[in-house]
Amino acid sequence: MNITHEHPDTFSLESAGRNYENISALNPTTISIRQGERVAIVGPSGSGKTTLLGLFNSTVQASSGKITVLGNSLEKTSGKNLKKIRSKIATIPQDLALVESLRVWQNIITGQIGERGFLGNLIDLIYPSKKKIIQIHSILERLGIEEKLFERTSNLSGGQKQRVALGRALYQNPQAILADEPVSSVDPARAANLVQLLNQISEEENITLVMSLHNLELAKAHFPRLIGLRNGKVKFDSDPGDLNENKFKELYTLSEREILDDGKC
Amino acid sequence: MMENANNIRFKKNPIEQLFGPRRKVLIAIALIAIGCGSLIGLNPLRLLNGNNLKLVGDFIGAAFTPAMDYENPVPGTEPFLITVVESVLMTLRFALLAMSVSIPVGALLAFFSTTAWWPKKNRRRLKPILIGTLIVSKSWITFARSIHELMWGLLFITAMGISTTAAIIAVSIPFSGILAKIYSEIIEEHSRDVQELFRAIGAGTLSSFCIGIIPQALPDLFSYTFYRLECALRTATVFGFIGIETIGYRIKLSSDEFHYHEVWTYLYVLFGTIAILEWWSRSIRKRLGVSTIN
Repeated sequence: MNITHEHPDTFSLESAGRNYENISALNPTTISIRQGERVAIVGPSGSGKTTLLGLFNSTVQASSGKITVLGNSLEKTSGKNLKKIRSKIATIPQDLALVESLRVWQNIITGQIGERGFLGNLIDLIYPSKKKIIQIHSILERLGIEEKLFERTSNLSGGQKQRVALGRALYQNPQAILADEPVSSVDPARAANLVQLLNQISEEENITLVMSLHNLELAKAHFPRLIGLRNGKVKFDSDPGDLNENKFKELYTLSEREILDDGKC
Repeated sequence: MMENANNIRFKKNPIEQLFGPRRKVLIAIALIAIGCGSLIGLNPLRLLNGNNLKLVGDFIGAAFTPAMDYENPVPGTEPFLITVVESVLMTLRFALLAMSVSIPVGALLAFFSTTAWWPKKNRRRLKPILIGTLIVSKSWITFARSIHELMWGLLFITAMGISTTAAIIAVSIPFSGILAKIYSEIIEEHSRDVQELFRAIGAGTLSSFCIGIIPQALPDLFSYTFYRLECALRTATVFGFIGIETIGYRIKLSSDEFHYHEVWTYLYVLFGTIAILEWWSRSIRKRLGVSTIN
């Protein structure tokens, strides 16, 4: 297995799709995302955004096709090698998945949980080295919340918690960040601020950023590439400047049948 | 408006309402309780017997003037308050020893009786082993806690004689079973989002379980463990009545002699010890960042 920064593509899908019994969550799709590229995945709920992100870090198994991550075919990768690939891909889920009862530095130190064994992780969590604390402090300084280093995570505001989740992702020293609607639960100003910050860090450190977003305006304003999904199909994959309003309307306008289906729920 | 109110008709007459379905159930429960009481020979009227009334009165009256010294001092014995402190320390020692055996055994049993840590990959291959350990540990937990600690106590004391070791083994068996059951339920109830995230960034089975779930569950686990420590204190007291030298042994001796002032001193000290434990538990939960409700 070979993980280096020289791979032109961080993620590559060749006719990769996912079915759940007879329902297709994602139709066979071919996409390539280069190292350092910033991509927003947009589309209505249930369009396959989370499934696509899951295929990238192999938390969702492809039913068909071929997936290559950091130059490694996932078909042939399992066990320790798969863990090693995953340890290079940071994830920021919608609910942030922070341990509220732990302190900020403890949550951030878990970013490298995939790099170490159980005992090493336990020691890090209870008795971290000074070097690690300094490293975490500098990450928090960059995110503007360095004074929260020893604060209990449950005492932080929603926006601060998002920064802690981002700090955990950065501490992982990743080659790619997958963010699944990380700004869905905060106000528009904070959402824009975080998306901007993520883009800035990604650009500065050449980290691939793939973010699923509901907010079209944010996606258009901050990402040079948009992938539009609807009903598990890629509707467009291009620069936001090349897309006209009809394309977006097509993506989000519900058909009569979909409205009726929602009503049944 | 008033006309409308006057038009309301009650479906049932007041007597029927008095014996509505809920009241019928309550009356039935009360009748069953009275029936059971009479079957086991319970007769509250016995309390009204002159001698018993006097004893009840003496006992309640003594609550206001707990003893500071023996009611009937015997020369050469330790001062009363020293005996009280020693008996409380013995009770605490017994409870702590029983818990120090029960907690690790309970935690280990809880680990094997929860599916929260099961690996996602290779599940099919490991399934027979995982299900086997789950069934064995769950069965042992059910068996251990289905028999009361006093029953275990009688068994072990009969086999090993009256000794603290026998009593501690007797308490540890059901307590570890109860702790295992509650620990596993607490673990199962917590969100697995963090664990899933850790798996997604390459963490192993044990790391993702222990760091992804246990810290979230820790305040609840602490809270329940402290509650069990309180139970262990009470159990230690009861074991005094079957000969183990805890505070219960002293209460029994004083009670047999009708020295109710001494009994109340022991009871107040026991109450104080449990209150201190509760305060300690609260302060730990507070430090863990969890607001205490009760």
